[in-house]
Amino acid sequence: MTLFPDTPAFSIGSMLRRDRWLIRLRWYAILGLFIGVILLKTIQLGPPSSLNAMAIVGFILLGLNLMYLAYASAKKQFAMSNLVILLNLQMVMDLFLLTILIYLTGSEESPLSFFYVFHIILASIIFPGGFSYLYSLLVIILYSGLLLLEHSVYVEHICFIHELHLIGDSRVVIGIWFVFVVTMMVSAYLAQNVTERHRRVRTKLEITNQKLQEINETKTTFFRYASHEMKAPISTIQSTLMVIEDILGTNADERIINMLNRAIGRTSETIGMLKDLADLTYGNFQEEQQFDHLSLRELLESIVSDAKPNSDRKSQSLKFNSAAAPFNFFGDADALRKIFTNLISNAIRYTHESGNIQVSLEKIDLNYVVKVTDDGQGIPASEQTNIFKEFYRTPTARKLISEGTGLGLAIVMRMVELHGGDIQVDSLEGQGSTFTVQLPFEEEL
Amino acid sequence: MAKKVLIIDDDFDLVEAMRITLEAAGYDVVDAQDGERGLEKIKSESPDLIILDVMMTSMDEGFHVAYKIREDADIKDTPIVMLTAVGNQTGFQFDPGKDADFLPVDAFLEKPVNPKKLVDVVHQNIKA
Repeated sequence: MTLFPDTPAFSIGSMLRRDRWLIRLRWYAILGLFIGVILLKTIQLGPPSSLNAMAIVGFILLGLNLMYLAYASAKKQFAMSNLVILLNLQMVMDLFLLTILIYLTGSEESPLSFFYVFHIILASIIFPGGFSYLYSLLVIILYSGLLLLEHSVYVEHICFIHELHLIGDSRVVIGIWFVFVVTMMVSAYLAQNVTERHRRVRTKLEITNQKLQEINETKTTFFRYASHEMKAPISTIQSTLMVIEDILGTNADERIINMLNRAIGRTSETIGMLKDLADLTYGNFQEEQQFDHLSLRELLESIVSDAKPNSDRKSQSLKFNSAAAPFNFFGDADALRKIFTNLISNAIRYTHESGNIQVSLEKIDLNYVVKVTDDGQGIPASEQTNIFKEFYRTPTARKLISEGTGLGLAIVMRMVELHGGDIQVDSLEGQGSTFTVQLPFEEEL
Repeated sequence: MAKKVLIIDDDFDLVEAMRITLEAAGYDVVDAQDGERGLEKIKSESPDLIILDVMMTSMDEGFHVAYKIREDADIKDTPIVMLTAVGNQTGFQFDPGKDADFLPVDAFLEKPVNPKKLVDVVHQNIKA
């Protein structure tokens, strides 16, 4: 279909969405039609035979819409050309039935002809450029045809309202016809113009978005290589410093030993920071990710037991609650380990001595939910949105522990996203925090 | 006679740092800058232990060298200490016990190299 430009606005997916949308809209039209018929019957407007015929049209439309729906749901794969034919068929059928309804309600007397307008708007939304003009042309042909048929006496005019007798005066009919034609053409032009502009903006946005993504990728790649490249020499510098300290032994000037220790400390901090920077970009390269089947419960057990010495040092209680099930999960063990090691070590760090830390694992619907709860200092509500930002550290965290890169939770977020999951924090200042990680899993068959 | 340690690593300064530490601990130290020259040195120097860096010209050159050593009947019993920063860099976690089949080395040593740990690891793995 060369008529259809190869843009996201005219992908098979978006055409399918429009098909569903059209079917949905039609339900409302059918409902409106039935309500209209009942209303007209109640207020005794219009000939009963005409109202019955309108109800029949309603049932035909109902049957057709059910058919469209069944077709759309039954078929999984659509070819673009099939979809285009299907959508056009629906639109033409709708217009044909609307013309019958207009005939039944008195042709040029009928206000239903206004409804043609939104079919033209629909056509300009559903199809590319020229189609809305084609549809306005079709509408004009249908309407003019109806008027001509009536006036050539092949078809009998229905007087919907007895008092109205415009049909006798051809000047009035021509006047109505002329206004109708202009309305349809202008509608087509306006609708087409607006949607076209909207589509242009959308395409532009998509291109910009793609560019931004590329730039971001370049930035991340740069980060990653830079941090790797810097880590090696700093690591060697630290190795050398340690050798010097070792060789100098305890006899050396205390000031020199202190200086060396500080230098070693600073190289460690820098290496830590570079490691964090590299972690922040982890998974950007497909070949790096190592997804595997694993037991989330076992993984958490081992992380908790690794963290135990640290919580013991602060006389904190660190507990892990989980059902005995293995919680089979397909994920990157290393990334998952980083998520929970980070959360648990944060909890230990920012919770007072002899505080309580609880780690729990449960299955809720199609998610594994891991909660890390502490009764520590908590995070003020105003800062909760910031804590996942890169390099952000809350003022309280800064006061409590001076070192730290402020990258920990950003890394956690990144790794959670890598698994298509979600992380949330609930915290009350002074009462503690709960970090909730949701990891969606696929049911194994 | 002093035991001989071969260090295969392309970082000259790191080799020097390890050489100073090991010589102070009474070992003879020889070195090679890459895997190929390392394998030649193993034959010519017949060291009692090899310290092998993972990342040299490629990300995993050390692994390939380790396999070649284990495939060669003359030298396959030489203990290997794998020097690694990979554990931190690409998310690899090594456990010599668990990965013994996968990686035929005797011990791992992480960069930056702590001199006391270096001497300990060499001492534990070198054959009497």
